[in-house]
Amino acid sequence: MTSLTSIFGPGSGGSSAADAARRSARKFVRSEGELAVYDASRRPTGHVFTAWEAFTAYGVEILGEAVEYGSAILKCTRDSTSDALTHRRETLNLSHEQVARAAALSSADIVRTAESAPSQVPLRQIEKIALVLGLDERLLAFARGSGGDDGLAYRLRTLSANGPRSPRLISPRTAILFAEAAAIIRVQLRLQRWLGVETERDSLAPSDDYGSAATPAWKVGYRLAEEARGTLGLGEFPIPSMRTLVEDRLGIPVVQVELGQNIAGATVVTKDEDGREARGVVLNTVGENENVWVRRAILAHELGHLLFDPNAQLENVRVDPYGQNEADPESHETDYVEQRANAFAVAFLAPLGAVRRMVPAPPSIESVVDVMHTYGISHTAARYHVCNSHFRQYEVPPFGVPETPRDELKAAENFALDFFPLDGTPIQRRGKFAALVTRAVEEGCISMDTASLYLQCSAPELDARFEALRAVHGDSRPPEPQHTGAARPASGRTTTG
Amino acid sequence: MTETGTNRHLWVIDERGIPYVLEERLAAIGSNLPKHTNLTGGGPAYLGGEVWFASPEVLYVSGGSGRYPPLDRDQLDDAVTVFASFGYEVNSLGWTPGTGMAKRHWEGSS
Repeated sequence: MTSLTSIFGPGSGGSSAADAARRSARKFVRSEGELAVYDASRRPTGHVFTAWEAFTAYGVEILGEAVEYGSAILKCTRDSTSDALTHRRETLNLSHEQVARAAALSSADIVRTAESAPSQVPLRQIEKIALVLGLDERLLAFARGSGGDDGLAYRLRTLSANGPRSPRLISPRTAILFAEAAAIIRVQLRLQRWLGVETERDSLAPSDDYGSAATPAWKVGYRLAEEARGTLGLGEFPIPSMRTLVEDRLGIPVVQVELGQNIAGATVVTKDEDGREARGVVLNTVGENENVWVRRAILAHELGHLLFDPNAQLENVRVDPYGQNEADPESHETDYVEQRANAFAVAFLAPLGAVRRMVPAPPSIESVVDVMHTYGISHTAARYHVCNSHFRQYEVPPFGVPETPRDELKAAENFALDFFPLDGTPIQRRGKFAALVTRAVEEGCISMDTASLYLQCSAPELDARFEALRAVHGDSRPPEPQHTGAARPASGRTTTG
Repeated sequence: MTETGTNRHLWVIDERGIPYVLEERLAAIGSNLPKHTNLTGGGPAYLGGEVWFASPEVLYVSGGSGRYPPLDRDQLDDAVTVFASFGYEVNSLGWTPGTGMAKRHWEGSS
C-alpha cells in the first residue's frame, strides 16, 4: 500500500486518509479516462481537483495508483462515459439539440461526439453535459451510470411525455431543468457537508399520516405546521424570511429557475453518491412568484412536501402549478398529499390559533389585511385562513386589495439573484449555491476548475471576479494577498495557473 | 486487447538506452504491487512504463510510471523505438493531454 505521505505529499499528516486528503496541498488532474498528480510543468488540459475532491470521488487506492504509475485508470468499462450520457439523454427523451442548449454549448454535434467518442471532446464540455443531465460529473467514466438517478429520470420522462392518454405535464425544457436541479441539489448538500454547515433539517422527520375518514389530511397539515413551529422554536411569531429559514436554518437547497407561467414550484428527490436521499425545492422565478406573498406560500408548500412526504408520495418530483396553493386548504377537491401541504403551508406561515385571536368575529376586511401584512400571506390565502380559523362560521367575501407587500418583506425574501458578478452564470446556479461554491474554494475543498464548472464560467473569469463574488455573499474574512500563482496554502484558494 | 490481469510487466530504460523488463507478471491495476524501483533499486533511469505481451511478437507499451514517466509524447515514442529495435511489433497506448501523462489504457491505435 502506498503511504499517505506519498499520495498526499509531505506535511499532509493526519491519522487517516481523509485527514491527510483534507490537509494536502497536492492537486490531481483528470482526463476523461485517467487521473494523475497535477504537475503544472506538463501543462495538463484536464480538470484539476483538490486532493480532497479526488479522494472523496475516487478513493485512496486510485490516488495511490496515480502516484505509483503516473496515472490511474478511471474508466470502469471502455464505453462507460458514452453509455452514461446516451442512456441518460434517451431516458429523459431529449434531443441532442435540447441538451446542447441547456449546457450552453454551441452545437448539438458536441453532444453527439461526446456520446460516440468522448475522448475527442474537451472534458469540460462533457462535464457540462453531465451536469445538465443530472449526472455526477466527478463519476463520469468511473461509475456505471455516472451517479445518475434512474428513478428521477424515468419520472421526468413520464411527466414530459405527450401521449393520447397522458397529456404532457411539463415541457422537455422543464424536464432538463429539473434534471439539472437534481445535480445542483446534490452538489449543494455535498458542499454543506464538506464545509460542516450545521442545519436543523434532521429535527423534522417524514410522516406518512395523511389522516383518515375522521381526520382529513388538512387537519394533519395544521398539526404538522404546529409541530414544526414548535421544533424550530418559532412560537406564533411571524416568519420574517422564509428564504433564510429554508436555506440557512434548514439547509435545504432552493433552485430558482425560469419555468414559464404555469408551474409555481416543485419538490425534487434524488440520491447522492452514497445512495442517500437528497431533496430540494425548485422555485419558478417568473409568474405569480414575483409577488413575495405568493413566493412565501409556494416555499412553505414545497417545504411541506419536502419535510414530510415519503418519496412514495412524491415519486421523485412533485410539480405544483400556480393556483393550487391559493385554494382553500380545507377544500376536499385537491388530493390528500396537496391538501396536507396546503394546510401546512398556510398554518406554518400564519399559526391558526394566533390568527383566530387576532381577528375578531365576524372578521372585518381591515383585520384580514392586518393578517396579510403581519404574516406575509396573500389576500386569497388570508381570506380562507381567517374563515377557517373561525371554523368556517363566517364567510369572508373577496375584496379589492390595493395592498402590496412591504419593502422590508421584499428585501428579506430577496434571493440576491439580480446582481451577480458573473454574467454567464445561469440563475439556477446563483444565490446560496454560488455562496457555498465560493466558500468551498476559499476553504480548499474544491478547485477553481470545479467552481468555474459549477458557476458555468472559465477559471480565469472566476479568478478575476472572485473578490466580487465574496462581496456579494457577504464574506467578512480578509482577502488573500494575491489571487494567482501556483504556490497556495492547502486551506486556500487554488488556481491551475 | 483484452487485459487478463496476468500479462503486464514493468519496464525501465536506463541512461544508456538499455531496456529492462521485470519478469514478474502483475495485475492490470492496483497500488499494492511491485514498482519500477524494484528494477532500478531506486537509482536513476531514463524512462519507465508498462508492457503487455499480446503474443511473442506483439507488444503494447505504456509510459505508466510514477518514478520515471516520459516527459512528453516524444520520449514515449523513444521507448517504442527501443522495443521495436528488438523486432517486436509495438503498439503505444499513447499520450493524454488532459493529464499531461502517458496513457495507461488502450483506446485503439491513434
